[in-house]
Amino acid sequence: MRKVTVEEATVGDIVAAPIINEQGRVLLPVGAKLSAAVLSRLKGWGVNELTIEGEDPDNPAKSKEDILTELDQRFADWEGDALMMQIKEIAHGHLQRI
Amino acid sequence: MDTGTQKQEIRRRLEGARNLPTLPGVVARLLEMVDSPETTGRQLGLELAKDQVLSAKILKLVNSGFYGFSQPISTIPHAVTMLGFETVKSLVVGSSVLEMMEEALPGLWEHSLACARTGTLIAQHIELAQPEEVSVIGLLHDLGKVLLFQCFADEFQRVRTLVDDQGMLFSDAEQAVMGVNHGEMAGWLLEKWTLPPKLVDPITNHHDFRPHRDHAERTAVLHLADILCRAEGYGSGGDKNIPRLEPAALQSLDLTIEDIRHIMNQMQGELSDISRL
Repeated sequence: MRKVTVEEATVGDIVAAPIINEQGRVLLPVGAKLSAAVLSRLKGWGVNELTIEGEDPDNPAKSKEDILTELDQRFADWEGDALMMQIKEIAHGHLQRI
Repeated sequence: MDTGTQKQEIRRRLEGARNLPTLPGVVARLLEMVDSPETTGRQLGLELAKDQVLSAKILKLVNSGFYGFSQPISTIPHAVTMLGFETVKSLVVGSSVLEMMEEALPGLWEHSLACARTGTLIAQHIELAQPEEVSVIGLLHDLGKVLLFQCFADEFQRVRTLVDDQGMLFSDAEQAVMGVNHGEMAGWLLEKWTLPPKLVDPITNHHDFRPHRDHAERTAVLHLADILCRAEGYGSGGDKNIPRLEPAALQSLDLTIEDIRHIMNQMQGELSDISRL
């Protein structure tokens, strides 16, 4: 999912987080498909930003390799610390399965 | 300038800052109300409804996918029923600083939310009284980074440069630039907001655990939660590395690596809706 402005949203986009107005009322639930009619009304409802399904083309999801490299970087200072290395190993097991 | 003088100077500037975040009056009243066992969800809802902007923010948070309800929650009393008093309380305080967190550092809100939930998991594991208070502590523990961003623009940039160029830990860079870290800075503000020491002390000391201090157990829980969330990569604390887990903190909680494995496994399910950055 990704956040877009109303201007960036296009017809057919799927709502990934409910759109709620200032009074807390749900205007569009998760899974709603944006039609041209709805899209044209969003501004009038005071909505400027929304969360839609799909990957951000400017910020693609990280590959597993990137995720595991970052894990190595996070723990780089603690190679000699047995406890920190054990924690890293557990996190490694989890991150590998993402 | 020696470190002590530098620290006093930072505190003086912080307390005099004009753009300091304020705790909305309704929040202070709600915090008192939720501490009373006689308060009902309805009373709380009515009090909260007096502040429409805050109610809307909370409903937005509740409905934002963090709690994974299939049906939207449209009223505050409903939220209290579904989530419980204490969670709503932490959301009240958290929602008042949510936007500031998002603005200060990308991923800080997710990191804070992850710490709130992980802290609760640890507290439950060790059967600590009032685990929900640990969730408030987790949510607010990095408030000092928001203060740095809002009130100390020059220092914030110098800290960022040390973090980005030299790979320093955020708290070490703060210490190098100002002689004080974000935990202590948040503590000063939370004291001013008259939050009780049992909530303030763990936040003040989360990067400097000492077993003899007041509220050491909760401080150890927060210290551990922070490190586990960074290890698993939930959100971002603004730097790319992890502080060392203080063995004394683990000892004071009487936890083994097998307990930590159990908690980290639980995090996979409980935090699955929080993005890893």
